Amino acid sequence: MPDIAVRLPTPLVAELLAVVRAALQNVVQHAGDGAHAWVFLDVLPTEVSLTIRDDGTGMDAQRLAEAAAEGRLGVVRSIRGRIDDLGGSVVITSSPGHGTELEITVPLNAAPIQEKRSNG
Amino acid sequence: MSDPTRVMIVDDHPIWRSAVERDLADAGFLIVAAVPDGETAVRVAPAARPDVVLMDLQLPGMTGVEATAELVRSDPSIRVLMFSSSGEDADVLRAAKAGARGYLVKSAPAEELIAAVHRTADGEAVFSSGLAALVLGEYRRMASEPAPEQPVLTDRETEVLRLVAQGLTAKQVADRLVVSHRTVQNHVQNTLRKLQLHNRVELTRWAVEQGLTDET
Repeated sequence: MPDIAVRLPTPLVAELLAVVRAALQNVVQHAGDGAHAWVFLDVLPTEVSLTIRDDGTGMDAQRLAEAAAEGRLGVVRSIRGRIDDLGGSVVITSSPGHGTELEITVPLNAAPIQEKRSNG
Repeated sequence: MSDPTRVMIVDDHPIWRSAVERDLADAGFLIVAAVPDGETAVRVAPAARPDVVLMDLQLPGMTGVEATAELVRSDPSIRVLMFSSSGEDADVLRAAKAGARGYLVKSAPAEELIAAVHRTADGEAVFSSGLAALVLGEYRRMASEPAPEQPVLTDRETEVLRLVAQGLTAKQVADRLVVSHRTVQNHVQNTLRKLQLHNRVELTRWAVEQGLTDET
């Protein structure tokens, strides 16, 4: 039978859950009435990819940059902080009327690595 | 004008069944049967000749998954659209593997239901973000337990499934990947078809193995 559950190290799960909570809270506060949100977790052999997407009001690149400069992206900053600690990356994509997408990638160190090589 | 699409509704709740029947009849579909269980569905299908079967997955007796498998086995041209409440992920995946062409949640509004039946009749896969995630998860699971003849997704199919799983509509996926809507549909259908084909191979192998076991 299909096993839909995915297995991840407990500390990573706790961090990812915190990130999902923060991101969804952000959607509730900023995406506007009637917006939908999707959370998608994909586990690959070497990394975990987590996407939180909404179809709400969104914002343009300039506003996103301004908000960051004025320190108004508190939630995103805290998410970035958590993901940085895990050695991962956060990409935010947003445009007016097309919602906001948070793409998070975290390497899976728990996977058996037989050979570690630096690729420059 | 072409003949109306023939629809069979399989649902054990009489009130729900008649509401769906009315909505679809009003939309121009020909309701050829509205039955309360899988056994009846399988029995009347050859005479009723439905193009599309709207199948509730939670049925008394024969399950929606079993009924789907049986209907598709006896007539591969029957297009089963699964219709269920949320929280039945494993059943949805099993029914998809058994040959269902799409999935719709029961909470979907009438317009969405009508559009989904139209699309199913046209041969399109009705994929929710949830089904895309389930199908992708199944391929990931198979990839983690490599075995011969196991289906694999192409990079493009993976990309499409991921975007659908993230809640993008087929049109949004097409826009983002700069391909046609039809191409996106083809990719989505391929992911299901490969899974269904694999399921049939597995079932055959299982049956052969059972047969061999009996002889010893």
